[in-house]
Amino acid sequence: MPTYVEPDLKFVKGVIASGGDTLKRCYQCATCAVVCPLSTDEVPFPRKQMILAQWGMADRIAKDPAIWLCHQCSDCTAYCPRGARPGDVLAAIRAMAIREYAEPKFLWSLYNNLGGLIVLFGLAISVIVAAILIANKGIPELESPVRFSHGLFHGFLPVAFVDAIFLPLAGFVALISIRGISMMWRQLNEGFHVPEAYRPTTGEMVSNYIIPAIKEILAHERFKKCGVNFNRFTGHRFVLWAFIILFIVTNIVFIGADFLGYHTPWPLWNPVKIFANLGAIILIYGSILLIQNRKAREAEGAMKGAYADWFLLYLILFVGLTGLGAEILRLLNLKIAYPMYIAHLACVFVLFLGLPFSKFAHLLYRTTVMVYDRYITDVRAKMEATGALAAEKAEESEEAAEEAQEVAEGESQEEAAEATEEKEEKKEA
Amino acid sequence: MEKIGVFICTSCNIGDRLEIADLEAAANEQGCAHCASMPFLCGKEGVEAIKNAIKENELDSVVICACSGRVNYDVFDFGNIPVERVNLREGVVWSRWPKVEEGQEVPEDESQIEVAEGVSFKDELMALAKDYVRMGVVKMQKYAPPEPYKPEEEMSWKVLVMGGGVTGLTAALEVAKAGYEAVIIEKENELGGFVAKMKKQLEVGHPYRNLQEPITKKLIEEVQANDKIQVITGATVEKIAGAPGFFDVTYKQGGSEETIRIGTIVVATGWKPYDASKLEEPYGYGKYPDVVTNIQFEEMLAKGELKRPSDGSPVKSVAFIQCAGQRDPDHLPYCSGVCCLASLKQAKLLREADDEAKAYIFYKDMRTMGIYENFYQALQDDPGVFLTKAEFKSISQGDDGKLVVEVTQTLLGEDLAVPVDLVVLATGMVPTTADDPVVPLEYRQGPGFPELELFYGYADSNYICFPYETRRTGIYTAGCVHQPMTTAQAMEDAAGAALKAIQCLKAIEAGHAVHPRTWDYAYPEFNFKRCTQCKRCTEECPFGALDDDPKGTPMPNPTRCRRCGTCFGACPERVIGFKDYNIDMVSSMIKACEMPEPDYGLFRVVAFICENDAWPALDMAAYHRNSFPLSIRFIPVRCLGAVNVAWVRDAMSGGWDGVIMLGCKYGENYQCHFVKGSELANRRMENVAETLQQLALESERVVLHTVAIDEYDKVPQLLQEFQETLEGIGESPFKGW
Repeated sequence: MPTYVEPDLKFVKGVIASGGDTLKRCYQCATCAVVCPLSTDEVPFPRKQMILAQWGMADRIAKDPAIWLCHQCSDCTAYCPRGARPGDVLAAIRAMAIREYAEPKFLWSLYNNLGGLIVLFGLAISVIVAAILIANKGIPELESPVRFSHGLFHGFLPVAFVDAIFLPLAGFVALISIRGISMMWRQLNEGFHVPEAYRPTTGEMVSNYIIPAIKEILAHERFKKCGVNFNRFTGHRFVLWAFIILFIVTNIVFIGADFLGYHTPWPLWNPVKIFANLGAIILIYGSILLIQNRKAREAEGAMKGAYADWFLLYLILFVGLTGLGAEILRLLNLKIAYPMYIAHLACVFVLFLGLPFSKFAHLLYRTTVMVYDRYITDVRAKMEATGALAAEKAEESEEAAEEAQEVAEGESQEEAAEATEEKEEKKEA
Repeated sequence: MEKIGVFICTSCNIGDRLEIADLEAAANEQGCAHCASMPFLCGKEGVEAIKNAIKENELDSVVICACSGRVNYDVFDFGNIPVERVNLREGVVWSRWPKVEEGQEVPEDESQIEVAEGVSFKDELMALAKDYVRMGVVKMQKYAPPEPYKPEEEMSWKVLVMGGGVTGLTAALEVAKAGYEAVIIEKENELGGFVAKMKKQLEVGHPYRNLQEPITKKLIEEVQANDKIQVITGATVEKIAGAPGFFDVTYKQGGSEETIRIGTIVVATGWKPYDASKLEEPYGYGKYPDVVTNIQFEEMLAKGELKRPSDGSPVKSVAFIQCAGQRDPDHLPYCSGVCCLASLKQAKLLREADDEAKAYIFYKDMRTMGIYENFYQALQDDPGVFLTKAEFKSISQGDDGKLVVEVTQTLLGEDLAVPVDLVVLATGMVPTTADDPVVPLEYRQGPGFPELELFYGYADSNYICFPYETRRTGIYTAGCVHQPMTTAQAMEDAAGAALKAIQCLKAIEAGHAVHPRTWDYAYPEFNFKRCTQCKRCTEECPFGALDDDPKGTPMPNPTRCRRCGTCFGACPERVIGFKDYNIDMVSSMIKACEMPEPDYGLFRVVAFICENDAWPALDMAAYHRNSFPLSIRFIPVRCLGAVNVAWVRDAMSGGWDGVIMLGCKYGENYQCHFVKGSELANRRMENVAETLQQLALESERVVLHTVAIDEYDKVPQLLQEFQETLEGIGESPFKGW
């Protein structure tokens, strides 16, 4: 049966607007799929994704895990004889996908253009300043020695007020993220129908696919295979690890300060504090490496950055700089530490909120696809081993044979029947 | 010629391998007036010495025995003194080598190598070289200086341009720019042709990415403002009589006929669209009103009415089906070359009219000639243009009235069904010459250009060497009647044809051949007293140069002639000849060679070689130091069509053991400078067989092979095989008679 085609012109224009303006130049030579270090014989990319996008087949692309398997080493862009820049196109498609899974959509828009920057930081700063004003019932007195809070309800910005901002925010972000991931999972599964018998239990899912995928991500195995340069690989790994460290210490501090009464600031010799500061330094160093790398890559024409790419990198850098800056200024007992602290919280707020809306969302969706890829590869292998895959294919070809029979007459009909019989025999064997 | 000077070069191994004194003796024996030898004949001192010798001895011609005549022709140029070149280097010392068994060393002294009883390799090598020297001297003895053809009548310098489209307009302008007069005859009432009816056309210059207003507007203005160009519209050419420089062209305008004198003609009559009514199956043309041709869509775009013919609703999506009825043995077997660009252009115009419109282009191969790849790339960037390689499968109508085009073998790896408002078939070009002579020539061989089947009806020519030449001298084609092409290409083509037309006029004025022997002042002369009116020459002339008088005697038209010599090759009575090249000359050369006594044990073979293909191939083989049999004496001829059977008879009855003819490839991708030469020679092999039968000789003794210019590596093998054939048959019984 032919595929009924009604290209989604909006989607094509969207990809072009999101940095994939070279999309249409592809003439399907497949050089990209050949040079890509991550593309496999079984699931080659990005050639097919290029034409699906050209033809505005948005639904087909959504079901395709390949766009997230790309780590954008840009070898394809370097070797493309037509200047179609598949690396940039896939990045643009990923940006479009993030929008697809994001709700409400206007938040996605805020994260994807310069105008949104003012709105987002305006929002973050006004929420934080409002909290400070409420907590202090007016403009606070700037204490010396500098400290940002003392106790749950006291200080410049008491802990409870920070929680009051960030806990609901975390809840909202988690909700949107889970919604996005489940939407994605559903779409991915539409691409290849897995028979009931081959579906894993939740336990198997976690132990066989999710944990190995996370291990792989921590080690950056795929990223390394991607053949990117040292700066990008190291930078990205540092940033990831820094986030993990900071996630852990934030939770320790949350429990320690909010429930156990160990009020901040904690002394510098505290192991948690040491760990946290290490995380901050790694975060700054990693993000600087990534920024430098991207600058160099863009200068040499290997990549073409979209706004969203730069936004995320600088946001991460500023999260680190303002965090560490606030701490140092506080230790130096300079009152400028207070606005620095507000700036830090605003950056964290914007970063947090951006998890499902900004390029940060690749954390969610690439991870999901890497789990899915392990899962589906395994299922296919199992089905292959038991002959189920062949059976499924045979069913398809039998249908085709039947169709052929209808058309053909006389001898050819007999032949087709024989062929079907043979196939059945093979199946039994 | 009477006082012939022979100059033998001793460099380039000639002096090492040959006995120069013996060669000088042979030249003197043959009757030269002066003979000298020296090293580096092509050097300053050598050339100076020849010049001095000419002066001192009052020589009227020279024979240079050195390298091949294909090299150093500019060095050995002595003005009015005719020069014959004897090819001792490529023909002897660089291409004849003793046979060496594997592992054995070649003996230093070639006179120690025995090739037959009592005959050394050196003896045979010298015999060959001496034969060449003798042939050179004899050829010069039989040479008469040619005189230019100067008709009494005044020639016309006007160029007739048939057709007033882009090509015709450009051709006329180019003629005028070069300072000559042009006459345009256009059958329609308006100039401009097809392009003038377009909304927009592809830009005809860099960067080849955009569209522009039709160029015809500007061209028409220029033509109308140019007083060297006469425009006759609404007129058709009824009759063309005469010959280049002296054409009488009769045209009909309204009801009246008029005749004008014309020098040369540029045919720019263009093309017409393929009859789409033949495309009902499978393309649905005629069955669905919303299936239109690219011509019809062009008209819709020009009018600005993008409405479906069926119900007048707006066209929001169009499927372009490329190669509809093209590259298809049932319709047009060729590619029209412009339809991919036309569809891309139409897609662009559609998209410019409506940003939400979608254009699908299903192509077999996207062919955007030349730098128009840029235009293709520009269109690829349009989000609303969807391109894929595909094979058309079917067309049907959906319930909503839309047409559904099904295609297979797409780049998406699956069959597609695309619902669209309009289907545009990219139908192809048919040249005006396909079913009409276009040039109503009053020639003995009939009107029109002969044998256009080779080019699917296009008035094309030998594309390898001569893009503008037709098989009718003085008549040049350009634009889409010549080959399918874009406007930009047609303009370039028009300029080329216009300059060729002028070049032809200059050649007629000077009295030499137009092409390809542009320097050649000689022309065929007829001894009508002995003519038997057999008409072979008038029929075989590839260029229709010869008409008949009422009695059937050939009437030459020297300005139509290209000096190939096919006529003299054809003439059984040997009544045709050039001053500088004739039957007696070559027969005498054959006879000048020394024929050994019977039972000599070695052979003598004469080879007639085409000077355009076989000769360069042989020279190249010599540069690779390949070896030819010692028995073969090569005689270059201007065309294998100019080989008269009399020469074969002379050779065979004179004791030669075999004759080999090496001509160029003929047939579909022929390479003959004179179109038919080697093909005719091949046909005349029947007469050769008859001659051999009369002499009671084996038919294998005379063979013809075709050799392309690049087949130098195959020639030695070919010659060796012929030598072995002769060894199988044995010596000619005519030796010693």
